[in-house]
Amino acid sequence: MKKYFKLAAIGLTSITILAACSSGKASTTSEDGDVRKVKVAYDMASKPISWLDDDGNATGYDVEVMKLVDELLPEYEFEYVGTTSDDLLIGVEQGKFQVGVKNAFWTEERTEKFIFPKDFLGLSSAGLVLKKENEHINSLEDFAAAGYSLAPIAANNAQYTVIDEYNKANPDNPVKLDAGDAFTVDVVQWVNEGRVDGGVIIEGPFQKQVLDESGPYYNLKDEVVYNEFAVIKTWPLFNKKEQDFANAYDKAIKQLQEEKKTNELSTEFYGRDLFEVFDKVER
Amino acid sequence: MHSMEKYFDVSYIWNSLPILLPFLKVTFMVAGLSIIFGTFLGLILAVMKLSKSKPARKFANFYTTILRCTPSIVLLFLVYYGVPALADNFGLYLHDLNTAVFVVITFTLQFAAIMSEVIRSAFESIEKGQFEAAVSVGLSPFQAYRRIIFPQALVVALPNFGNGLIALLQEGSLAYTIGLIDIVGKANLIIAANYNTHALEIFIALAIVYWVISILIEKFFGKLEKVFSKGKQTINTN
Repeated sequence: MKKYFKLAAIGLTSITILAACSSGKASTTSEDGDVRKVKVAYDMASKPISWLDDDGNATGYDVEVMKLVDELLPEYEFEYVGTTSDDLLIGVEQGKFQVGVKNAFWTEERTEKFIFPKDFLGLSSAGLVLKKENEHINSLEDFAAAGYSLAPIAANNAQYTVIDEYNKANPDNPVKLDAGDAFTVDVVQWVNEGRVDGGVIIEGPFQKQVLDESGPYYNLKDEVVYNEFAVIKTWPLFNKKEQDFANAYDKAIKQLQEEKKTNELSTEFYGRDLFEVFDKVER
Repeated sequence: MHSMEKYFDVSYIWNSLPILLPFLKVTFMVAGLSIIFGTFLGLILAVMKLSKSKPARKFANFYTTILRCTPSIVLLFLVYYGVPALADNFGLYLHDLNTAVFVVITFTLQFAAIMSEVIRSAFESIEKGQFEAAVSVGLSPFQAYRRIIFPQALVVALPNFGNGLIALLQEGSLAYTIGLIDIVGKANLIIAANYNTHALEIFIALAIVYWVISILIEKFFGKLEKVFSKGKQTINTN
């Protein structure tokens, strides 16, 4: 799969060159010229961050914040396009979508492909899923020192970068990091099964999978634990040509944060107001 | 095994089946249109391959080689991103087209390459002498093709056509990558609705659907082949 995407990337490069030869005008302006229609791509399989619900509506923390942003921007009309994480990254880069939301972290590599606005979209608690008997492992340092194995993470998933950055900063005590070919693996299952000693997960999904009484892995609530190692800012990724749109977003998100709307949505979708621990945020 | 019991839940398989099945409509629609357009395009390519024109033969063979050497997922992305990007150059705005259109284009292009070889080899498997004999007893070339060559070539082509059809149906499962909600897409959404859990059970349900369909297609083409071969044997015994 991975190598196919590489090939696809090569093909895309040639297309991008072709596209660059065109007039270069984004033809996304609607007929009346006042309201600009923009395509907002979202990962439709990343509940509770973003997903396509049973009624066919886009929802989730990232999507709902963008809907509020849309309300504050009368000059823009958002159209939500559900897709996969892989397609979202390529599509926003190429210009098929003007912006994409997928709980995206900031990485150096991504700044070359996308515009990151000044203000972030949300906060994401990242942590390790561990067996109950390993609940004393509270950091990546502990995890690495114990020589534990980690569930593979796709290289285009920013969680990979987070661990990789830790490894570069701690060359004497690195976490064993494997690149997987699927964007996500069923981390709770892998850990419970003993296939790996631990896995990186976002708190929101863990909360809904294991701790929620109606969660599918509620029966494992006494077997596995979640230990947060970082609270990370998440960003909407804008296409490189969309600086004006990114500026408009910044204006709107500032207002939403001041009105505490983002806090409310964090509580609604993640069961916790992550903005309370904002002072712990490092990246 | 002990821990396995804790998360493997057979009920997820049975519960997901009725939710998945309605989405076969999308899978079949995409596959069906690709087969229709692909067979038509494949026929044109086969005619080019069998023609006396060297450029036509060269082009058709080149097309087939390139398409057969392109992995489906790469072709899918090339069409999905490439077609609208190229259309932009001509002032055409295609970014609002339904995802299914790009999927159909992709698999039409791919199926045409397969079908051109299926049709070419089927026609070449029928001895030239039969055509000559038919024409010599007074049939027009068209009649000779329609009555003598085509019925026999069809029997030769059928199993390969059936294989191509099953392959197409399976390759079609890649369409979810660009966001098409067919049966595979729905399976992924069910898994997402469960917070990315119980994926194994849902994929087993999906596999069951694919197995049943593939077996049915295989059986159908087996029967069809028998029916059409019957005519052929009558000719032989006469």
